[in-house]
Amino acid sequence: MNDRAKQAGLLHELRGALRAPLGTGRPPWLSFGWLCVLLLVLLGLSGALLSVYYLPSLDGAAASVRFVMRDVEWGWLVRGVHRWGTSLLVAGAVAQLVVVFLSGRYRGAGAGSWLLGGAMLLFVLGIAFTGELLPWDAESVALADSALSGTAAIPVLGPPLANAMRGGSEVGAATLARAHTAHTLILPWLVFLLLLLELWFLARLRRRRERAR
Amino acid sequence: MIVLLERGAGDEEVRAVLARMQSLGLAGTPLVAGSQRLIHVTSGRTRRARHLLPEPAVRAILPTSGPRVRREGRRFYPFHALCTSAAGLALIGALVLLAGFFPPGVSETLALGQPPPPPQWPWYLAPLRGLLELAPERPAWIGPSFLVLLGTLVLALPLLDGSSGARPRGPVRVLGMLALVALLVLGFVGGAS
Repeated sequence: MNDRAKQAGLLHELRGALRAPLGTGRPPWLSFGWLCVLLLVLLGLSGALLSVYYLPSLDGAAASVRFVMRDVEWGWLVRGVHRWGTSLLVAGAVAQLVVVFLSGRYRGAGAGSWLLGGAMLLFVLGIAFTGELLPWDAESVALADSALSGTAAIPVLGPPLANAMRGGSEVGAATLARAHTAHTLILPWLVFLLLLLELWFLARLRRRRERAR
Repeated sequence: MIVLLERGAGDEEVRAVLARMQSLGLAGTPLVAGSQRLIHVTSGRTRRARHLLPEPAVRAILPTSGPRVRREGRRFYPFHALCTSAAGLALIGALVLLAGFFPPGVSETLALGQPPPPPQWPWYLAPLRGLLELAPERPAWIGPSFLVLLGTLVLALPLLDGSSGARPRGPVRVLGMLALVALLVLGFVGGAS
């Protein structure tokens, strides 16, 4: 098959996917799942803008956040959107889980999707929590200290998990560096990966339903 | 799509409209509702029915969901794509308003040797805080362990409920609702303290 024929085949597939009917259930744009995907895109964009100015160091973190809020044009708005978007994302992910539970879609073929959704919620909570630590002002330090003490209290897994997040025996520069890496690199990519898997699960479910018709 | 004909339209007018529809690539079934005559457009590109409006016998055109839409739902493009874009714009608007009216702050940097202030827990960790507040004399592991156990149970739900009905099985539904109410109450307690 030559390149032009391949391109025509891909375009045909894409056109077919875009023109495919989506079923008679609730419209997707009214579901919390779509809301969460839109919020993830917005958070990715606003986070990328904020990371241009952010300095992940004990002395520079709070100062760089203050610089964004006071001196960067529209910086206050970007940070506000990022922070409020995170809160809405957590709320949307919890609401989506409740809706799936109440509709009983977590059973049978939907079990995999349920597990992925639960894992995504955990990672989103991780993103939100690590984001709270990044300004590294007095409140962030107090929160890190308090929350990591709580984590260390969990039997068996707690102490190594808290030590890994703290980066030592006390909250400090290593904690901030790990929170920054988890917030900007590890957790968002894990969520993205799980989201792709979730979309694949949903597409497979749809194909099964179509075959059953 | 329903083509509403003028009152008093006879067979002649119906035939003329059907012929015009055929020239537009549309097919339809004539219907009579009392004294009102209608034509139900059953196939073809229904958008073209608007070209029927200049016909003297045609009074109005009423858009309806066709049998395909009722059976299979609307297409992603353009309908759902436009609605999703509108929902996205509304979401951005809401976020901009929230960010404008309630901008996040930055507190002072902690000085060396200065004791940290009482922590301000974010709302999504409020249930954990509430649990710690409600059981002050607890062993420290009770609160976090309860939440870990609850999370594990939630993830294992498909294994616990193997029924096939449209809704969760009775006991699972009751337990799920109780867990939700417990989290809300703990959240309120944690948020208020």
